[in-house]
Amino acid sequence: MIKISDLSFYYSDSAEPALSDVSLKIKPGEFVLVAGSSGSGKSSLCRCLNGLIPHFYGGRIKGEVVVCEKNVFETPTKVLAEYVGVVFQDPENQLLMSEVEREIAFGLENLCYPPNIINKRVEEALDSVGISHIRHRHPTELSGGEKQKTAIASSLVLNPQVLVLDEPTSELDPKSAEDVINVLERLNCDLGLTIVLVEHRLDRVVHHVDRIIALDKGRVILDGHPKKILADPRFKSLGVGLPPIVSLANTIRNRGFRLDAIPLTVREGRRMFSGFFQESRRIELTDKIDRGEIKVDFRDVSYTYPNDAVALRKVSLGFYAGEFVAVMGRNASGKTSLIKHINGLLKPTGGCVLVSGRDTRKADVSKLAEMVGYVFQNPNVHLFADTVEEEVRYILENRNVSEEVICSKTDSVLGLFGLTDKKDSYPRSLSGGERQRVALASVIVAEPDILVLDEPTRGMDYASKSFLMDFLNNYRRSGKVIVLVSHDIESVAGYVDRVVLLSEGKVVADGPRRDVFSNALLFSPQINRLVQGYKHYNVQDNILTALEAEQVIFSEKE
Amino acid sequence: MMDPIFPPKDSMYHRLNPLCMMLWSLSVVVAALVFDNPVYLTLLFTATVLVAIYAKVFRGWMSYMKYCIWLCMLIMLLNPFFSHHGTHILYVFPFNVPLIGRPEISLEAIAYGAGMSLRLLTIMSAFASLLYTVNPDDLLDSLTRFRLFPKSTYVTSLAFRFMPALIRDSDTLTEVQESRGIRLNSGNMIQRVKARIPVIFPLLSNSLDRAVQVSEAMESRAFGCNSKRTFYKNPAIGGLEYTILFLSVLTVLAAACIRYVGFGSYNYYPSLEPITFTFEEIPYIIVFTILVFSIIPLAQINSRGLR
Repeated sequence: MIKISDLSFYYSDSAEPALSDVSLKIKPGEFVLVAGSSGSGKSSLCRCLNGLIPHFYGGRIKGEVVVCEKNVFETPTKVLAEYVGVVFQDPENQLLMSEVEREIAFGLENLCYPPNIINKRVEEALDSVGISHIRHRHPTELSGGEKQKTAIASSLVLNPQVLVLDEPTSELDPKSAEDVINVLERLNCDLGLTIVLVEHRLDRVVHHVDRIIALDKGRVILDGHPKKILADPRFKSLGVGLPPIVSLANTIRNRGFRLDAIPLTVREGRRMFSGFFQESRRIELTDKIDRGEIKVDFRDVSYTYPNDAVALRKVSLGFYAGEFVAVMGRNASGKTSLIKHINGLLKPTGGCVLVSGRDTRKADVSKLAEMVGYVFQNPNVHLFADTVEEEVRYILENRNVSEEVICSKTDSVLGLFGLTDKKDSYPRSLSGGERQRVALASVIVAEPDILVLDEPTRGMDYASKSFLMDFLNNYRRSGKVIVLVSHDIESVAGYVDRVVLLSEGKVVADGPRRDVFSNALLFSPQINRLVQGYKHYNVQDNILTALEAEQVIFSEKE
Repeated sequence: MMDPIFPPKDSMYHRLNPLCMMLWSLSVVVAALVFDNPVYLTLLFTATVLVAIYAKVFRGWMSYMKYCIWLCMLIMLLNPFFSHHGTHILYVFPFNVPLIGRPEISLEAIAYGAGMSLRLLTIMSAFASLLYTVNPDDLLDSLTRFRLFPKSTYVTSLAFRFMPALIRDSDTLTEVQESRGIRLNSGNMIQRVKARIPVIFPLLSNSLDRAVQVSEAMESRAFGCNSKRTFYKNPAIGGLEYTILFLSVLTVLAAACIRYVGFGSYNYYPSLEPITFTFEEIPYIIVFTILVFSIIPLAQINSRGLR
């Protein structure tokens, strides 16, 4: 189906290869996961499969790519569209029309299919991804998951033999991501469609795929069955985050114990780890929280947007000095509305918010900004200057700080974030992880007492995520408050002190992470879901991470 | 979630063939340019308001028109300062203003500003009614079917499609700067422009990124594969819709005819003319009114399936 031979590619403005001597074959009906850290060449590989490289992106290329017996280098992308469907990362920018069903019909119209065939195919595509109920909606009325399903249907309608998806879930909340992955699995099983998927969150997909291809610096490092690849120590060294139960399995094996295979699901894990937990004993797993004075005080806060959408309903809670809090909940539950009240971007329509004792209704955002740093989800919105250094020092330049202090603080923060070498670079030309660090540095340089972050880990690779969470954990130790909005349970489970769970604008759970995450049906980390099945062995049910599970299993033996 | 600029609605006008609304709006615009007489302009404006009301898009239409109303007020305010042809002087400034001398505010100049504003409002209202009743994709299809500016219409359609995203980007970038403690709306003009740079540059960069991604998506879905294309939706066109098209053409011809026979004009200077109608003019007004307003009953009949 796909044959790639000695493929190397350099983008026109780069001396480093995006892809280097890549050779591989993909059989019809395979479900292949392409994994690797940011900048490893995953997206470039996807672009080679439908001819965007070299027809759309210029550069130096050698080797050969044959897809469905078409030489990609000799066949224009618009012709390959009938053989290879592509779904991109950003769900917003790939929808071109103002109605879902027209969006789906767009490709067929371009290929001059007669209306009766278009009608039939559109109906099939709508049904195959289960979106016929939203067929008349405008793209701006769709959730992220619905947008991606629309994009998948728009590709499917051309009846391609291969579907290529470049991080299709990175912009989605967990539920929408799960929905999209389930659609892919169904298409693979029911239609025999060959699927090539790029994805950072391996825990979402490894149990669905037949094969993992791991890339590093444009080269194929590993290629094989998921169970084989996940057990290979080289895979972890690529900076790819392993699913927690896979990490636990690898640790058990590394300690010299025998496991038949690497588990990919909680069900498999329960069976394989049963003996280990049976012999474990309970250990103390409580989190010591040293919290100081109250810094942010929400008192019966309600907020209604001008279009009458109610975002918050009588929310009362406090954030304390030295506390690391995760604000979680499904989409449109009020998370972003809540944190926008901390720096006064939104003023309550009922109740009040006190930030270090100051009522935000009476305070200007610029005054609150001296206490509250706010990091937006997309790092690009922070970046406007010509160099990284200018970007970082900008906030201080607007605060009547002496040049000497600006220079010293800027240098210090650039060093802290490993950006000293990049200080003269154009911020937008950096990699995704580096851009996120510049965005964070441009806020941290002002040393805010309260740091608010809106889903900063969305779409991040494992290495960038680990760096961010480690940094935040250290930052709060100096008495600062961290309020982090996130969907990523696995990332926050190992770091935060407290979790606030919102639903429909109300606080439905607020407490130490171990209380909120333990014994939940879905709203719990993978390891906790695993140990919930060992209650009959009297295994404690407040284990959240692979590291804690390891401590529990091996405490007796040690 | 952001409201789309053109939210899908279901009304008799939305169910019409897009060509009907296009040609009717065009006929109103042409007629508004042909007439000076405020009575004729008021008739045209009223027709566009009624269409917006019956099409259930009055709220959206109003949100668009409120900017035009501000613009019209500005015109009415400024025109007396620059136009000194009126004979009824209401106020004479006690001092000289550089470039325009000593302004004399005359009744005629205010009335002329109001008349021109009414013309502008009518034209903008016709466009607003069109934009809120016809899906931009239908407009695109209609123009592409006739091979009228195919590439330009795609660009326009995409611009409308991504307008909400652009507004959202702009709002977010403004919030980013406010969160950094930057006061975007304080200081003198130079300070304000300087404060806006961190909003404008990323907005442009994001738009360029978006343009590349949109192009990738279009290329990947065979855009431009053939010089022709087919259409998923083939809007029906029946007898009543042909009638609306015919009457729209007739509206333009009637406007030209009325002006040709010497009606429909109005002189603001040197003194306001009294607004009176001769016995000969009344049949012309009645016929013109019937033509302009005919879309309302015809669309209603059309929506009931009585083609």
